[in-house]
Amino acid sequence: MGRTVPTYREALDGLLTRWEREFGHSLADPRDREAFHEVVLAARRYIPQGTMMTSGDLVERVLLSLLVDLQRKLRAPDPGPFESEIDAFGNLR
Amino acid sequence: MPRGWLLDVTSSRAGDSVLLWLKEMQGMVHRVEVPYAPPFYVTGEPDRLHALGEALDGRRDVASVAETAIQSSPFEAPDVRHAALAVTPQSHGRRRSLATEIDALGACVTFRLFDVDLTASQLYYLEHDLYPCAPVSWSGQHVVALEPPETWDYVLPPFRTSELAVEVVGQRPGRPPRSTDPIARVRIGTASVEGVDETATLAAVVEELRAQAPDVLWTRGGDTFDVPHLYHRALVAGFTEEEFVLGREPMPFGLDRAGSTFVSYGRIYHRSPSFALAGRFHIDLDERFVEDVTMVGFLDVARFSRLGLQTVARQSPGTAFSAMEVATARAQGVHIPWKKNLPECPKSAALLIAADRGGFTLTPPVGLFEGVDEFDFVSLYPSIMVHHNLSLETLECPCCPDSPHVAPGLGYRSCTIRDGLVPRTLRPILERRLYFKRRKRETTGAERTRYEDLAKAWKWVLVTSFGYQGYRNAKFGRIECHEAINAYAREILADLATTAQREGWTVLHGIVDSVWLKPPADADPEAFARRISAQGHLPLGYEGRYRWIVFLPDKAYGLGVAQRYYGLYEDGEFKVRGIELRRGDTCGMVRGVQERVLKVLSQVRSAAEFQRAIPEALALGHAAAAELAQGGWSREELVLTHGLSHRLEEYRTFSPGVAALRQLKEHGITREPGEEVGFLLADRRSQDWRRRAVAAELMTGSESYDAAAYIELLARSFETLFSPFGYTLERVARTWGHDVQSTTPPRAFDRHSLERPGQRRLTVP
Amino acid sequence: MSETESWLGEIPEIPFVGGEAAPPSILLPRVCLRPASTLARAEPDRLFPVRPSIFHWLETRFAPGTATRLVGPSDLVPGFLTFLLAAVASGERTVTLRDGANRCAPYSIATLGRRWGAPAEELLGRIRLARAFTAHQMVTLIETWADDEIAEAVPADLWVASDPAALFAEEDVLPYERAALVPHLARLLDRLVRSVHRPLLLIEGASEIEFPWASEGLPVREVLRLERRPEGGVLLRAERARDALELVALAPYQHHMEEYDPDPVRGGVVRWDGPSLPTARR
Repeated sequence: MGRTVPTYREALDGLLTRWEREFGHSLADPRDREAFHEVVLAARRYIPQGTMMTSGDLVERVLLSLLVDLQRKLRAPDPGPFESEIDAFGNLR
Repeated sequence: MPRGWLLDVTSSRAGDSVLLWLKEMQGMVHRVEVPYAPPFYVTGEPDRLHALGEALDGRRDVASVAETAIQSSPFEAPDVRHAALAVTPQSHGRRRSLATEIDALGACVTFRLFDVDLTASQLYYLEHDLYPCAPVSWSGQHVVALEPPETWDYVLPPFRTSELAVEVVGQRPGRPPRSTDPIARVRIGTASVEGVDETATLAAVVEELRAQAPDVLWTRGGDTFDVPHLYHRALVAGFTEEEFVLGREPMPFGLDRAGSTFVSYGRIYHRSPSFALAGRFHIDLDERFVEDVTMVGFLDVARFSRLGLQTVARQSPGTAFSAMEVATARAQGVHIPWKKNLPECPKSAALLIAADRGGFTLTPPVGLFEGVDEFDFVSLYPSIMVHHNLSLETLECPCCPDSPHVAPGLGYRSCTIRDGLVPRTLRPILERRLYFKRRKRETTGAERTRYEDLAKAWKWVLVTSFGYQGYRNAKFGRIECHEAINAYAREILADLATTAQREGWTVLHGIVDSVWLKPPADADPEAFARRISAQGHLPLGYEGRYRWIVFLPDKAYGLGVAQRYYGLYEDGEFKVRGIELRRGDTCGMVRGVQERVLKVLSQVRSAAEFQRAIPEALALGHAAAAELAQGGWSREELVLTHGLSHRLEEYRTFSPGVAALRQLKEHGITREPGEEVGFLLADRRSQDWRRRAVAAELMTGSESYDAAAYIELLARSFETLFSPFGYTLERVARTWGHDVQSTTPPRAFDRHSLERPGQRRLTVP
Repeated sequence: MSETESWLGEIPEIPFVGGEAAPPSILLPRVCLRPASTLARAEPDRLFPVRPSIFHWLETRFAPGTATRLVGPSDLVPGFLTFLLAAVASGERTVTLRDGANRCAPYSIATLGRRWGAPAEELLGRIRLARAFTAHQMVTLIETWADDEIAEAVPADLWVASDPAALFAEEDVLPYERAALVPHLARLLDRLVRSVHRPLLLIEGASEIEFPWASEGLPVREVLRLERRPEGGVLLRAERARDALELVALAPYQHHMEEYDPDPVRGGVVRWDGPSLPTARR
């Protein structure tokens, strides 16, 4: 029974695919494309939090995700306990 | 009065009595026949019922018809009765067809039928306060259980067990048996039965079974091959069903049975037809729904479900749980509806979005983390069902509009007056499992293993009890209950994360009923767990501390993903999810190498040591790759398995699995959706179904395999483990001196920064 | 798909059935280009908002006390249903839906509503639904429909029965049940539509079960049929009125629409832009 409404993750996939196809695809400058990719990553990074919201409007949840992500990037960095002890280059923290 | 155990209750062939199989203390098994004809019930308008009664009266296939009144719904007060007809079919076998006839007579709307799909044995157990393998004393047909089924610790019946294995003429690796193959010999326990010809062999089988008198015949594939093949060859040799008996009572050979395919939670399952025996248990280890449950576990579950051991060992835990709900309902006096029709209550589309959600997930950051504590709620979902009284008849009841039990975000309220049917079924199970877990901690050796087996068996029943609420055909399911359970669970996890953070813990990962937290200095995890348990009335268990744990990224974006990690507990045990080791489609070679890598990593105590261990692990892989390249790796270990979702003809794309299916078809073997196909990859480039792969059943052990393909698979398994530290498939393969063309796009790793390889490091979170 | 599978070759999975994530992609209209403030509220006797003009065309296909059948291929009907639900709810009308094909797509409905300026929560709040997952549940839903609706504070303007017979195609439904209960459903709906005196939208086609609307005398006002045209585009036919609309996809970057001329013209055309409904796997 159930499973009528797609998960936020699945619905977001659809939304982001459309954004990529209609908006991202037509970006010429590679830096714009990179920035757009960051937007996509930001939206995906907060999927768990988006799932806890129940608004019918997906864009509301995506906007919040992007705003929080931007705020993090603007502030002074403090990775703290959320950063891996060995980074993506194989170096110790 | 003799004492012993009631092994089983089976339907007699005539169908108007049951056979009680009683095993004496000394070991002899007695067959006691008891006339037993349980009715099913029909409700409807009294005048229609009366007319129906008159129509049925005197029919040959109807033993009796009686007017009565029954409780037909758990929603109604216990004193509410409905006019009903008690219809007793002439034989147990006619029950369903007679019920169907009555249903059709009423055009499916005039009459409601009850207790139709309960078996005679199940009803016998329920009516006489008996249960499978109960310790009993008896006098003639009067059998009395000496202890209730809920007894914590009991003595198991002393079963005589023998393995049964059939070997056909010409059987060898690479040549699967066919129905035309005569039987060469049959192994029964330690005896190997072989006659001058097949007929003699078959006769000797019957004799040997009589001599050994096993109570349990266990097989590996007995339902799919050994038993039906024995029956088939017996038929060919001219034996009758009365002459060729594998149990203690003649059974129909039943060779016209088909298996079935069904879908559950998006996965396809295939069930083979079952060849149970009468008076003796045939347990096919390959047909166990859940692989790691043992006899001890099945026996305990059988007690509560009132389903025979052979049924419990084959059916899903959900079937057992449903039978337990039936037992609870019958104890309350409520009869079991045949065609369940309780639909969803109307909700707005807005509420649907809120309600149709699963569990809470908090995706982890990617990488290695030291000193992480894991906490798991003990049977969270069943505990929620019990604590918040979630049952079909106690949700949104009209009597408790101000109930304090409100499903978060949904508003469904639970009754505070009546104890629901589902919680009443679950509570003893939860207590039982907790008892077994406690005893497991307190004991050692064989006793400890026994408690572990018991706890494991019940874990599966508890897990499915939640899913059953949402199952469309569940007798006592209701979708709002399913939604409410999820809502409470999400809230509980989210609250736990908030509380933990407030107390200084770092919440790394959370999923459904578990959380991974990094403790603040001088934290006491046990005390934390106890406090949370007390506050929320739901037991939170402290699983242990990881020396280190690696959370793995998703393939597409490099972001953290739930249920993919590997970590080493302080006690030296690993916990592993989502990597090749745990996956059903990987070959033994990859699993074996990954196990060895983990063995290397089991010595690692810190991030620094981990970093130093990576090259050693890679060297291990390199050696394995070199050995693979030489072409001599054991073919058994290179068998890959795919689950099937279609029949061979329905596949439109060519793949090694399809090639294997085609080869099997050549040999007269078909695989159904829900089953698996195993194969060796011979040449991944070939488009020829004969050359792309070799079906596992047809392997001789000396065919050549596509070494490059397997090296790539191996490299992938290393990428799985070490990608958070910069090891892509290409890098791993290059380290081993191989060139690999990856078809997946390059990955971005989870970093808030704009770091790229080669750039100077920015210190951003 | 597991990693191994994706590397070794495609083994197709079972097609997803139900919900919003049904492949292949479904056309959704992006019809209204006018801002919210000009979306005229439906007049008391109208079901749909006044503009855009596809609604004008659709308005005449429905009438209280009658049924309107919607038929078509399974990749077009769900999208169109979504469109109809969103349209009716955007015009501040209320819908009651009994769903036998697991087709309610709240996110898609809300997306459409946002383009038409209707806030998601209000819009979704105007759609009441109850789902059936077995044939017997569906029977109960139709039997209790009228009683459930009486208890509601806001009466529904449009009643939608989404494929009431579809669940009877399931394996576990026996032939005698199908034979008895499908006509029973049709009789119930007939009685319902006459007694509640609201328009009923009856959707068919999710399974091969034929709904016996004719033999049970259901008062059918119109049959809306969706068809794919070989040259591309979709045709929306109103069979009884012998009228049709061509639904044509807008080219990328094209901003203007040729609107349907409200004067009755044979083979009138509405250009609509249909971005595909994204597919997702379960």
